[in-house]
Amino acid sequence: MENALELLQEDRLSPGFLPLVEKFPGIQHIRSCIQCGTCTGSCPMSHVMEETPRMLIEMIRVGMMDEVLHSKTPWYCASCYSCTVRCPMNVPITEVMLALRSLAIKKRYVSMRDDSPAFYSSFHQVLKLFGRSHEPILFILFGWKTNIFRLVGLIPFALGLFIRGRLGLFPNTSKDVAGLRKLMKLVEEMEVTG
Amino acid sequence: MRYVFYPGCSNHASSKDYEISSHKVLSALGVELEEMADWNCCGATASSTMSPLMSLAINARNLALAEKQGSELAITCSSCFSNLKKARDFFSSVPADKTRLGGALKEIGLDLKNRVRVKHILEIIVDDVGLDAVKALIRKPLVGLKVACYYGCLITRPRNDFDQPDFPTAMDRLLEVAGAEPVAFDRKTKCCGASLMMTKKDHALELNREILQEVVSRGADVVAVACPLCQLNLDAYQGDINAKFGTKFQIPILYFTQILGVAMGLDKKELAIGKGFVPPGKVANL
Repeated sequence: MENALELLQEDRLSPGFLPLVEKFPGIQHIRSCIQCGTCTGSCPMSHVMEETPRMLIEMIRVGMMDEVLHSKTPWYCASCYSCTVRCPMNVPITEVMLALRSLAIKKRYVSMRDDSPAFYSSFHQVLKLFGRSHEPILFILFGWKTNIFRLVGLIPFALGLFIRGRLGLFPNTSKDVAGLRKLMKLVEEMEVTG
Repeated sequence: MRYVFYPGCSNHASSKDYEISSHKVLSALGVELEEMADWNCCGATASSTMSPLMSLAINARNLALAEKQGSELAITCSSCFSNLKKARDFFSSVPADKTRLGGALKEIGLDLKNRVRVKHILEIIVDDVGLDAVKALIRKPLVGLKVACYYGCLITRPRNDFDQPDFPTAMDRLLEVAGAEPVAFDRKTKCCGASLMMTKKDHALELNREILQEVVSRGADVVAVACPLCQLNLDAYQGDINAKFGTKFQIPILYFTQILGVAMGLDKKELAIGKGFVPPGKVANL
């Protein structure tokens, strides 16, 4: 315990980190966490995480911004909400994980060429382009950002879908993509101004 | 009964069979679906990864479009359902007019009153149509068919208005009415890994192996699912799982609408049965 306290050098902590996380929509009750570990026990991925969900919540409260945003934990979250529905203090843990991902991206704690940020940003780009998802273009973008040879590995999968009539060759678009893009731009501006 | 229908992106591609069978079954049950005009993607977990506020905004657009067409929204995909429900619940606590998102929506000519109710088609069939009405339409009871009802995560979580988050029973009760025998299934809401299949494949394969292992040990003939991503992970990656773990799984993963449709005597081709990577097995011979 003494060692843990020594590691917590006050000048390295960010007291503004918890309020920053609390600014995200729907995020509340982090301060009420009783560190019971029900989240970690419920998580299907906690066995591969270096910092468990319970630990991460405490690290946010303490203000360990660098460690939290460098942590791989949010990227292992499957967004299954098992933790959220079981938390006795109603901490929306899944939403916290998503907020941490977006903070790690915005504050450049992760490379956009890493698998996870590359996949989610590619998906989001396709949405912005067509208003709807389209797997072939998503796969190409994802491969382009990470490792183009991964596309070779995806060919049997894509072919398997195609011969079963489960792959659309041409994107399906929303009619008013212009309106959707305008809305997305307004939200981006909102986020810059805070 | 009339609903505004939100198909979601998967229904136009990898889960076409879900859309086809849902329309067929719901229409036979007297439910009318009218597709939402100009819907956009719900963003799955990608948009909320880039920006939780953005995810809320694009789903607010969907809700605002839906309420122009009706008062109840029908959704097949659990991920779309969860995102739209999340937005719906958010704007129930804070009226859109009082948020900057409400202002942004007005700039693109939309006004969100948050009047629409968000429903998964499983809820519509079990609660709105009702199990008695379903029972009256069963023509070919699925005698001897052992089904593992796999709900996945997002149909019941973070919350819905019709079932339990950890041990839901709606699909079991429905397929029991259809004459099938639902098996006990501890992992019915254990996650399939969703998009981790793209970003953390080895771990996602392990999650799916565990689920399939229990299906086999329970003696089920088929797994019934209600989400396109669960279907894709459990079905299209079964070969990869077998190669990685030396298993010999050959378990058909069908949408609950396809199984129900067979019991209602609908044509299997019209229910798009047989589009899975794993052949439909026993269901094909019923």
